[in-house]
Amino acid sequence: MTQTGNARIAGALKELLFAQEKAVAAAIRQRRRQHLRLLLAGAALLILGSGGLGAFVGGEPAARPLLYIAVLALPLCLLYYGFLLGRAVSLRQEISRIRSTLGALAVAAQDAKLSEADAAELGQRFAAVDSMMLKARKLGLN
Amino acid sequence: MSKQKGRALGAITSVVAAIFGAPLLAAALLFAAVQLLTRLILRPRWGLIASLASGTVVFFASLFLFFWGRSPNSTTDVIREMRAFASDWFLNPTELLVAALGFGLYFSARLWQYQKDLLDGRPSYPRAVFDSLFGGRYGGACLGVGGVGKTTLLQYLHYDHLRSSRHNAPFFGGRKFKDRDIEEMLEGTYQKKPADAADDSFEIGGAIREYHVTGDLERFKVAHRRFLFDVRGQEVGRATHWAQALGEIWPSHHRAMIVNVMTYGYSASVMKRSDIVSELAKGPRPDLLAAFQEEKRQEEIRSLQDVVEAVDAAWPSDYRGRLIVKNMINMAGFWWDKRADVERHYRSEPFQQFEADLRGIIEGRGGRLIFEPYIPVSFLFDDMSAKTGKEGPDDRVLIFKVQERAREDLKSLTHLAIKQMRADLFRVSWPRNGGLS
Repeated sequence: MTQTGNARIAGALKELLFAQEKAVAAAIRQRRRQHLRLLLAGAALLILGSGGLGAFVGGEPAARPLLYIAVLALPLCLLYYGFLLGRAVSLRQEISRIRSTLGALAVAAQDAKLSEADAAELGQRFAAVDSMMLKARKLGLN
Repeated sequence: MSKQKGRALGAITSVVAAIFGAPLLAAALLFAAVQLLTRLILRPRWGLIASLASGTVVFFASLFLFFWGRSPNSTTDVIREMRAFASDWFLNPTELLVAALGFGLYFSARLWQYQKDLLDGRPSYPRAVFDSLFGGRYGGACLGVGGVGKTTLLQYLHYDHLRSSRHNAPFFGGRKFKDRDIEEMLEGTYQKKPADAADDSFEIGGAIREYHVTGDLERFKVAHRRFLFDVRGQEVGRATHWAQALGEIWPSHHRAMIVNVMTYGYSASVMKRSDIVSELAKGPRPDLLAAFQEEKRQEEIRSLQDVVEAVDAAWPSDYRGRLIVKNMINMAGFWWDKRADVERHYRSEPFQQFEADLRGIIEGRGGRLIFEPYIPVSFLFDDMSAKTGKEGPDDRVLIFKVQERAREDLKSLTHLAIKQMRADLFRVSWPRNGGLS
């Protein structure tokens, strides 16, 4: 492979790594939004559940409407919670796909006989993606 | 006379127990609580904090439930009503029966796990709990250049651990793996293949597998409360990647293990080298393979510097942690006839310098290091071959031939090495003079 050819490969690898970095960042953003929604749905489940149970146990007539609300809203909340968990699974699959792509890119970078400058720059790109993947791991995605 | 003596002894024992037993128990509980709180403050574990917070919420919610719609007049009324509430809702026979069944099921699952650990000779769950409470957390990483068998080693430990985990408990776990201990897994890997088997039958626990490149940090659970990181081994950006992995271990894990896997040039990454594979498809090319092996040996030596850089970046100053480093030399099935040369190579100057550099960093900052320079192993035992991209009988080409004579020796050595590694995951003593090198 000529030097220009290797430089082109290095350029393509950088582009690909940049795209992976963006994809991980998008997954992290979605996961953070999900966290907030999961928290809200969980809080609603807890409040409705304990309120409904309290109304049931206490037997206070004034609390009867709360019981009806809980009976109606709890299944909806559970459905929404399940939907959010399903979305979380698809995000995890996305991250797993990115992980295997990173492996292939690392092998390509190793075999491409890059110049020192290109290797250093690619190394920085890998480090950036790796730190994003670490963030994803801390959010339970990786 | 002897009866009287016995009674007196019993009386004294009960008095001593009454005087000292309760305070001792209280002191132990207080000690455990203080230690838990200290750990939570120094190294916050958000999962535990969230559980405690949700427990507090549930407690106040139950208080709210009790007082809703009641107007008790005096403390006596409140206590009487609380008793009635408790006996109606929590201490009735049905509730108690359900609770007893729940506890029974939980503890029978734990008991099942305990006997499984004892039978396999694995450190048990209670031991792991006490070990991590009193000895600190334990973490680690498996490092090495690409295609040396890091993931395979971690899979052995992971599947062995799963045997006694909740994933394998009767009625609780969805069993999605072959229930084999390390010895049985090695038995499967080392079994003599039938005459019609393919050359590439790389097996762990009986499942045929190809070389899989690890793309990013992956955490394997290898024992109760023990995780090891698997990393990418390819050269570009390696030191930073490994430093990130070790940064996940220190300073939160007081004890750690680094397994540095090497292969004396017999790396499985050759299966991904299309230039070499296409030449081998035309005919034997020992010169090409020798050049590849030399290249890999040089890369292994360069990777030592990456390990040192990663440890240097991740080990905090004045950190009195404990570390064990194991140099495992894998793929011994290909080089067993040259083992004297291989051992000499891995005890030569660059590797001695590696140990000296690590000692300089760790012991210079107040930590302790145990270094094991040469552990010959072969996690898989079969010929190494690669896909040629063609269809039919030429779809694979042989790369390295395994040495049949080494089969039994390597099976027992590998078994011993993995078992020793598993025991070292619960090591509590780190000698001051630096251990085994």
